[in-house]
Amino acid sequence: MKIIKKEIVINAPPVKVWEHITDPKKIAGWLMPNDFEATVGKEFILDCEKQGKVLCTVKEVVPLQKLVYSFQSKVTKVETLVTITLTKEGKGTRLTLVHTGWDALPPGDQAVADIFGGGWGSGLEKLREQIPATKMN
Amino acid sequence: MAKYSVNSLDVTMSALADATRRGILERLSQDEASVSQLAEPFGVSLPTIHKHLRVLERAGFIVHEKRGRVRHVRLSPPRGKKCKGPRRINPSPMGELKNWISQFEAHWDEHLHRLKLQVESDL
Repeated sequence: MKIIKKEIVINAPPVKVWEHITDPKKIAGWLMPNDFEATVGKEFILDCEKQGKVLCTVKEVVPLQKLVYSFQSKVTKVETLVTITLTKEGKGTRLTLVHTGWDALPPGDQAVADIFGGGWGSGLEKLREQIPATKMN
Repeated sequence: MAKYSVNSLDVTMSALADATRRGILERLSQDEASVSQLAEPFGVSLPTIHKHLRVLERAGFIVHEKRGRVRHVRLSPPRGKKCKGPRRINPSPMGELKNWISQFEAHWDEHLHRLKLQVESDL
């Protein structure tokens, strides 16, 4: 699967976790400076030093459960999708983050994967296979 | 994690962000070609093809060789395979992409760990 998947269990109720993934000041604490707003269609900027500013758009908001936003570097033009879901687990919360859309590299064109498969012997497909779904906990 | 230059990654990514250039790479993955052979299937002028080829060459995807008056283009060989000398410092364009994606991998771990600490200290 061409995805990055991360899971982490946080010892706090979903309502608390939700606060930290939707309040821009709190997001800045663990992710990066931003002007996030939990409204579908809202564009916001994540300011990561190394990759430059990343343009994001809120795609889906299900309070306390699910947050989806697109993630696009102005420089690289690659749009990927970040989906964060929260599920109650005992007294805590399981947070699952799925980062997909690497096959949009380049957008909607699989030709490059074939090129690299033939040209370099290490194609994008292989590259994607090398990205394992990993767990943190 | 291997270090890479963001600028050079930008060059790689913008080189791939064009359908004609991706088409050229696809064509060259079959066999080398002259510039006019490349221009034909894409229905673009020679100057336009030259422009695309310059971008691809700068990004390290292709190399060219002049034989007589004809310029032949082919994909760059995989780096490091044929050279016995000191290891080359520059990673290949694909290597950079891979690094770029693995950076996300590593970053998410780091960020989520920070999130966990932040939330748990806020109870």
